[in-house]
Amino acid sequence: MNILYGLNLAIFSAFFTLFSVEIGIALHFLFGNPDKLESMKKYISPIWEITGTFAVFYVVNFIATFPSAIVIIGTAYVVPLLMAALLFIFRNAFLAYGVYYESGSRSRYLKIYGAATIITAFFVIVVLSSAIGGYGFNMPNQIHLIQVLFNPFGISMFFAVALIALFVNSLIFNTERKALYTLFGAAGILWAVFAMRTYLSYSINGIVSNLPVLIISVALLLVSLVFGVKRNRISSFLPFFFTFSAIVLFGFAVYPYWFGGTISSLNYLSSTATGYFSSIITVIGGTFVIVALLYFIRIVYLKQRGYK
Amino acid sequence: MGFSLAVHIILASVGVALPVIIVIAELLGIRKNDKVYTALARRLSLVLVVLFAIGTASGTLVALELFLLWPTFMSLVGQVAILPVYVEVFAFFLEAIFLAIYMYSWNTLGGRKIHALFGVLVGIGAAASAILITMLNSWMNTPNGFDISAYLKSGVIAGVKPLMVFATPATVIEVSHMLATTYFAGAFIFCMYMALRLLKSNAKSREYYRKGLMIAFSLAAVATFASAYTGVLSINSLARVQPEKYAAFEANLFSMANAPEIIGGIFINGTLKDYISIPNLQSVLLGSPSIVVPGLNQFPNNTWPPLIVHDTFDIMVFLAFGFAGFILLILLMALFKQRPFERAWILRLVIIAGVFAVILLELGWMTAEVGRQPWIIYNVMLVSQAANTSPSIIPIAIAFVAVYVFILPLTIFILKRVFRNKPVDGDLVSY
Repeated sequence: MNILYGLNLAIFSAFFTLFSVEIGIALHFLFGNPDKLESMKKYISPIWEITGTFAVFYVVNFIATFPSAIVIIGTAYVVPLLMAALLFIFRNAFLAYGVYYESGSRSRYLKIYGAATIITAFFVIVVLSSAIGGYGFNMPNQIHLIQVLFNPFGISMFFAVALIALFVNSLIFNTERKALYTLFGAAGILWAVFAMRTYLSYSINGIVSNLPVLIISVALLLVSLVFGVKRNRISSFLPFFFTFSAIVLFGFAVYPYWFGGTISSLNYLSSTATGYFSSIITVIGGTFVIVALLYFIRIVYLKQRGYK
Repeated sequence: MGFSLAVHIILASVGVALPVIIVIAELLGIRKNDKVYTALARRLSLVLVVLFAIGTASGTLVALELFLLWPTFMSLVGQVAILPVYVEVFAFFLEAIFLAIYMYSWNTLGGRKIHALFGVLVGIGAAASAILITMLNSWMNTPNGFDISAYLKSGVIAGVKPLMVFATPATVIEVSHMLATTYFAGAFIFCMYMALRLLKSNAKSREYYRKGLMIAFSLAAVATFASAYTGVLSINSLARVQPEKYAAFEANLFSMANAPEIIGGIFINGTLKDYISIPNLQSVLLGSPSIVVPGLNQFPNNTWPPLIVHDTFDIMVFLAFGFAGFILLILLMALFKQRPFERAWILRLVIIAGVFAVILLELGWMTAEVGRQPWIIYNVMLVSQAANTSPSIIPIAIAFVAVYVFILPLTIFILKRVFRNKPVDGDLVSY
């Protein structure tokens, strides 16, 4: 895999891992399981800014990695992406109101946050699905908005992600009705694989042709699942690896194609020295972010244990 | 896009200035063992979080709008000048992660000095974000780092030297001026808030708001004089690096030596009317009376900026003089122990100054950006070449305006409600 593409995929996977946990929390805030809402609020309170920052990181990295694709993608998906941005404002504002200004986990603000997050996720997933699967888009830049928004691959992936997010959240927050959520998780994974097989026939070959990645990812998925279900000190963290590995695996499956396998994304990769320097910055900056996040996790951990 | 940026720069100014005010309050609280300062830091950190939430969203929106509404421009930026924006993401991470840590670690983990250090890191992250984003704007004003003549001839991007983007001819002065004016506007917004509360507060909470006002005003005073100094450097630099923009600011239709400083006036049919002229002053301000100042006659008509920038520039300078005078007045009153912040008329003037600080910030930004028109990248790409002209954007643009019109007052309403339910007197007892 090309290194620039790989770094872009890693950043996307980190962003979408955090965001998919938020999707699960948003679903719980809207419809969910009252017994763990307070824990979810405690989780979301320090982490939401970092998820948002990863979103910006991905957008800027995409511009640096695929500069010549911006004219196509920016023009084609301007409406759904601006809609997602609009809802992102609601997501941030109402989460801050709900977390810092309204006591309790069943506040109206958190419900609005939940709705805004889920609709944002819908727009993000259908745009990604259209860009990968080519639904609603004809080169050079003819776009059919209704087909983009309601493309079968996108809708399938949205529901699959929602089901998997509920499952992952049940592992992270150790919710009740674990059997039901495990069933959701299994259904979500099967649904995603079925959608990929049906709508992106080349994608399964993409996984098989990257055997080491497949083995590592599947091993990580299995370890995460086993330790996630069997509770211990690290079981809250492993579902993050599970989600991260699943997204990386998906990235390898579709690599390097966009628009239903008709175009290679490698044609749009940065060919100037800017790409080289942006990779170096990604590695240095990424190391800083990882160290800072580890420190942050330590503080959260110590605080939750009542350390002063 | 213009509306989003107009809102964003206010939020960004507050986001850059507020951590400085909070950290000063927290450090004073530690040093003097004064719980008023600690309460101030703690309450303002709640304001910072909610404004950070809205500011992050509006920043993300601006990033996406750049990508979606200016795709041709961003494609060139992506290949040549993305590095400052890219490094900015990490400054943003620094701010976001340490803000989370700051909020999460009050009274825990390593003591109060370490906690204040987290606040310093938030402030550094915020300032670094502003600096790095302005570097891209400097590049738009004075592009470098690629073979411009080859690009203009054939559209081919060659000879890319991406690190040069960090040091364009405009960078140092533009960044300094932006940083100073950002602190100026952000600090004055808090002066306005503190003065407003001081006018209405009871005896118990007066000390809280007075101390808050002292901190915000100190920052505002330093930033005002720094803004004035860097503003003078900025206009001198403009004469060299963007002479067309300079000529429009100064209403110079013709290039000349011994140029007068033209103040005010209105362009009617290409002729300036009703202005004041001070002989030789413009050339003198650039170094000596014999210096030849740039004139618009040196450039084709179709690349002149809109000449309204002359008036917005003059209003900006006039307001800057007003601020400097007002601050000197307060400093003199303080010097002669006249207790300026105990006087209602001064507090009312501070409130008015807060409003004008925001107007000045917006006016400065507008003057700088309109002054670059019709170019998005000076002498390289026109705004008309860069824009996404799809009509489907219009309803969403209207929706954005509606959302901001809804969210901003709601945020102020919620902040007011929270602080009403959590009075200062209670906080002073708690800490």
